[in-house]
Parts: sequence; C-alpha cells; structure tokens
Amino acid sequence: MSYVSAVWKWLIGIGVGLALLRIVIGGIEIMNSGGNPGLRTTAKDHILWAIVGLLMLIFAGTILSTIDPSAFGVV
Amino acid sequence: MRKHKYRSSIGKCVCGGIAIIFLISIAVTHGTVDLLSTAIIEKAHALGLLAQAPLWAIVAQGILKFIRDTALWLAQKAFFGLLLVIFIATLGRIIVWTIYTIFVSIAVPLIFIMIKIVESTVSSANGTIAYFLFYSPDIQSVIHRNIWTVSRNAVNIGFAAVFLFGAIMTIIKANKEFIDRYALKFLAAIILVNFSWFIPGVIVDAASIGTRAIFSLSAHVPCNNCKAITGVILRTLAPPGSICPTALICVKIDPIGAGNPANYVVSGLTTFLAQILQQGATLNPDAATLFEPLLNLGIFTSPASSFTETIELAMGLFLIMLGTGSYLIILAALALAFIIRLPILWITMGFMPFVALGFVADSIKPFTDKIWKKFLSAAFMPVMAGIPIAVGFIALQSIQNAPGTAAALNNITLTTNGVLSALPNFLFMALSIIILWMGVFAVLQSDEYIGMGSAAIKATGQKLGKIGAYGYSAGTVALSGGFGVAMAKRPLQALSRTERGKKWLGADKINVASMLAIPAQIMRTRQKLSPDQILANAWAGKPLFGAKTISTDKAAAAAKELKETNLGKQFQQTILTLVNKSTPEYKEARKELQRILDTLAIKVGDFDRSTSEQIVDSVKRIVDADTSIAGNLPSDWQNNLIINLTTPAPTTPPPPPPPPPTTPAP
Repeated sequence: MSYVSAVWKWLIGIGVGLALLRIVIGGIEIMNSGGNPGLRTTAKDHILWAIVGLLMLIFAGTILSTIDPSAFGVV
Repeated sequence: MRKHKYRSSIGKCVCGGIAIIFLISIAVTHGTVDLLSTAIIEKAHALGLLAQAPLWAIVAQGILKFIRDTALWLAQKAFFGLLLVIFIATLGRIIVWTIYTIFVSIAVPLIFIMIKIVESTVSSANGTIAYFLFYSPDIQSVIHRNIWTVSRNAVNIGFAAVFLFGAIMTIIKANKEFIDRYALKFLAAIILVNFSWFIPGVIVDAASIGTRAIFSLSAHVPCNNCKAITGVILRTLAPPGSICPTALICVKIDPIGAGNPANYVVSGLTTFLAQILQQGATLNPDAATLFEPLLNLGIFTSPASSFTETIELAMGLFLIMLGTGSYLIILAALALAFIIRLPILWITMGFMPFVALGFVADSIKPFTDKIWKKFLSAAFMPVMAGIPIAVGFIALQSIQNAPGTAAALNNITLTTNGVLSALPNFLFMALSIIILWMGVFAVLQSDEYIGMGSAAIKATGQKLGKIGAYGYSAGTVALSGGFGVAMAKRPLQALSRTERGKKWLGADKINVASMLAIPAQIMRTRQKLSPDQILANAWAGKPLFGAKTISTDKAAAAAKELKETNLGKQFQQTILTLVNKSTPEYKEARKELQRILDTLAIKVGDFDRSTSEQIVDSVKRIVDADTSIAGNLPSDWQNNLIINLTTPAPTTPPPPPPPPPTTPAP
C-alpha cells in the first residue's frame, strides 16, 4: 500500500497540475479571443472540463483516502 | 447398435415374461395362493406404491425354490457340489454372519455421525456446525475483515485509477466523452461493490429462511409415534428396548418431534433405517443356531435344508447391508456437500466485490459470473436438497399413515420367516433411499466442485445399485432358464479354466466341468446315446461324451450306477462268467459281452492290459460291494479276467475233414 500511496501522490499531483495549467491556458485563450464567440466558447469549455477533471481527481483521492487514510497524510 | 438394443430389450421382456409366469405357477403350486388373493391385490393397487408387493413376495418364493433346487442338484450330481453345499451350510453361515456383523457395526455408527453432520450443517441455528463455521458473528467478522475488505479495497483502487485516468483525459481533451461513456456504469459499480457484503448476506439469510420453510412443510403431516435413531451404543451397555442388529452394537430409538424441522425430517428418514435394523435384530442368529450345523457335522443329515437356510439368511443380511450401505453413501455425500458448501460461501462472499464489478465490466464478467453462480448454488443448496427430501418424507409418511396401508401390509402373509417377512419394510426403505438419492445427487450435480467431491461417493453407490441389478438379472435368468443348471454352469466352467480348478476338478483327465454343468439329459440328446450306453462307456473306460479319457474313479462311479440298470446287471453277469473260462457258459457270455460292446465298436479281444486292469478294478469294486458274488469266484479270477479280455476270441475249429472214402474190401 505504501508503494501505491507514493505513486498516487505523484499521479494526483500531476493531474492537479495539469488541471491548473489548463485553467490558466483557458484564461489566456479567453483574453486572446478578441471577441470571437467561437474561440471564447472553446476557451470556456477548456476551463470547465479542467474543473470537472479536478473534481474527479478529488473524488479519486477521496476513494483512496477511504481505503487508506494515510495515503494523503490525512492521518 | 440400435438393432442390438432392441433385440436385447425384446430378450429381456421375453425372459421377464417367462419368469413372471413361472413365479406365478410356483406361487400357486406352493400354497401361497393367499398372496394372489383379489382383496390383497386390490388393496395394493389402490395404494399405488405397494402395487408390486405381492409380486415381490412371489419372486421371493421363486428364489427360495430355486435355491433349494440348486442345493439338491449340486448335492446329488457332483462330489464337489456336495462339498460346496456342506461348506455353505456350515462355515458359509458363519462367514456371512461375520461379514454382516463387521459391516453393520461400522456402518451404523458412521450413519449416525453423518446424520448429525447433515443436521448440523443444514441449519443456521446457534450451536450447529454451520453456525460455528459460517453464521456466527466471529466468523462473519473474520471473513469480512480478512477477505471481503481486502477485495473491496483492491477494486476501489481500480476505481480510483480509472477515475484518475478519466480525469486526466477529461482535462487534456476538454470534453465529456469519458463521462458520457462510463459515468453511469461507474456509479452503479461503486454502489454495488461497496454494498457487496450486505447483498449476499441478505441472500444467505433468505436461503436459511427458505430452508426452514421447506423442512417445516413436513410438520403438516401427522406423524403417529414417529421415532428416529438417537444414539449408537455398545451392546453390553445397551439399555432395555434398544435395537441390536449385530452382536456388537445397538441403536437407541426415541420419539422425535417437529420442534426442529430440519432435524425432524433428516432424522425422520432414518425411521426406515431403524425398521430395517429391527429386521437385522430379528434375523441375526444366536450362537446356537449359527454353529449348530458345524458342531453337528458328524450327524449332518440335511445339508440341502441348512444350505437353503443359510442362503435365505444371507439374502436377508445382504438386503440389510445394501440398505445400510445406501443410507451411508447418501448421507456421506450430503454431509460432504454441506461441509464443502461452507468454505465455498466464505470464498465467494469474500470475493463478492469483484463479482459486483463484473456486473458492469463486461471483460471480467465470464469469470465473476462463475463466482456468483457458485455462491448462489452454495447458499441455496439446503433449500434445493430440502425440497425432494421433505416432499418425499411427506409422501412416505402419508402412505404409512393411510388407513389401508397397515391392513394391506399385514395381509401379505408369507410362508417363511426372515427376509420375506421384512419385504414391505424393504419396500419403504427402498423408496426412502430412492427419494434421497435422486434429490440429493440432482442437487449436488449442480455445482462442479461439490459434484467432484461427491462423484466418487456416487460412483460407489451406482456400483452398489448394479450389484442389486445383477442379482435381479441372475435370478430372472436362472428362474426362467432352468433352475440351478444355468447358475452352476458358469462358476464351474470358470473354475475349470484355472490351473487350480483343473487340479481340483480333475479336468486334465476329463472335462468334469462340462459334465457337471450340462446335464446328462442334454448330452444324451446330442450324442444319441442311451443312459445305459453312457454307463457302459464309462465302464469300459472309454470317452463318455467326446474325445476325452475318463479317469478310473469316474469309471468306478459310473460302474456303481451301472449295477442298477438292466444292461449293467447283464454286463456284470457276463464279466463274472468270463472269469472262469472253464464254465460252460463262457462261450455265451463272451458273445453277450461282444453284443454289448458292439454298440461301442470295441472288440473283446482288443482290450489292452491297461484297460483290462481298469475293468478288473471296477469288477473288484462290485465284488467288494456285493459279498454274495465273492463266494462264487475262484481265487485267481482277476488274472483270468485279464487274460480272457485280452485274448482274441477263439476261432471255431474247422470241422474235421471227412474221412476219405473207403473202398469196401472186396
């Protein structure tokens, strides 16, 4: 389980990092859309699904912490 | 192949038909007409299940007649047959009793243990084996903590991995493809996996309630004075009222109530076994009866009668052993299956999270479905086994409690004691065994692991069944095919093919087995020889039926019989006359002997010395047996007879030449 916890911390971290990066990129895309509704909608979608992905990561983390509370240093 | 099957079936029908006609004729001629009375048969048919009872009784009569005939035939026709009859009538009785005592003394305690195991594994009540090994909170906790929780965690780690993968894909692709595709299944899987301890628990509880409900059905049938085997004890310690089927053990019989339905039914089925053991207690001979023929061997005057008694005793004891063995096999299979069921429940419930995952993940469904089916079959096994057992028990109790049954059974009067009087009980025992057998093995076969465990037991039971079937076939064939001849033929022929058998039977000199097996009547027909010719042939030391050389002993035995026939007496007189060549009757005697021997193509003068010595030896036996002859014989009669038999017949002296014509003297 300790190996799993170690790997999970990295994977979750990478996932969260990707999501945050995607949100930042989405924000930049909105700024650069220049009033183009199509580009703006696409940028919003990127931010939306990055947030959904982030929620999924939290859910996965919840599952793992249920199995092993020490996985994320909760206990 | 099909044609052969039809032919075989037709043959069986014909044999069976002949056997039935024959048995009915026996029943009529032996005074057991009461068995065929219309009243009895009507009652029996009205009861349905007893329809065959009178026929069984008739068959039993036929079998006894067959045994008596076989004993007489063996005793009269062959020396070794007589020895066999005496052996069976004396030591055979003790051997049969010993086998029965050992078998039943071991089987009955084992049956009792099996009954207790079945009772204790079929019920989930506190204090039972099933409770101790599965239903108790401690065991449930161990299974939950050590197997199920680990399985659930493993599956949940899989879920988290999939979630992580899905999250990353969603973030990168920025669309809801993954969610649309898997969200619903994922949600269902999470719920099922995390409730996968609760759901099978509900199923197991439902099965326990169903088991109790099924067995409770039996309580609706009134059981008048129902009793069951409640203990097995050593005979020396047995309290009064115990049933003692052997010299070693007794069984304790007590009334049973309907308080615990499962115990009530399982124990109730042993009621029939108890009745059979009661028959064993009745049949079991005391020491005086058992050893009487052996101790009185010197004045043993009726071996055929004792032989019949022994065979009848053996039949009864064999039926008891068959019934006891069948109960043991079935209960052992049932006990084994119910014990194997418990670890199957542990494992399948422990791995239930994977089964839950299989409901939503098609790729692992083929594997998880197997676990699910095994769980269901193990959980509901007592219910499935309980249906045929409980229904069969109800049917049997209903029949036994029916007003007409007791009267019908009492009216089946049989002319002999022992096994025949127990036939109605054997009928019920057979029915109870069939119910158990069919129901139990149909259920056990539903699971391959349990089936594997019980397959060996079932195979043994089938062999036991085949023994009974062979016995029936042998009886039918023998009864329809000519009494003891058919039965005696095979073992003797088989014996004659072995080296030791040849030595015993003297088969190196003559095919004794064929003499014993095939009656002289048949041989006479085939060879077209008269009885006197056969005996004369034996007398002459020549082949009886074929190109075999008869031994001296057999010739002497034939000569003894020869004395009692007309031709034999004539032959004897002729030989004795030949002893003294000087008697005036010599010439006539020689002619008479030649006439007799002409039928055998033997000339008097052609006897060699060896054959003549055999004849002399035979005549000597006759002389020794008949002292009136001895006084008329000269002291050297034996040498004279050899000379006379080996000397060619004197040629008739030519008539003296006619005297030359004489010329009258002038």
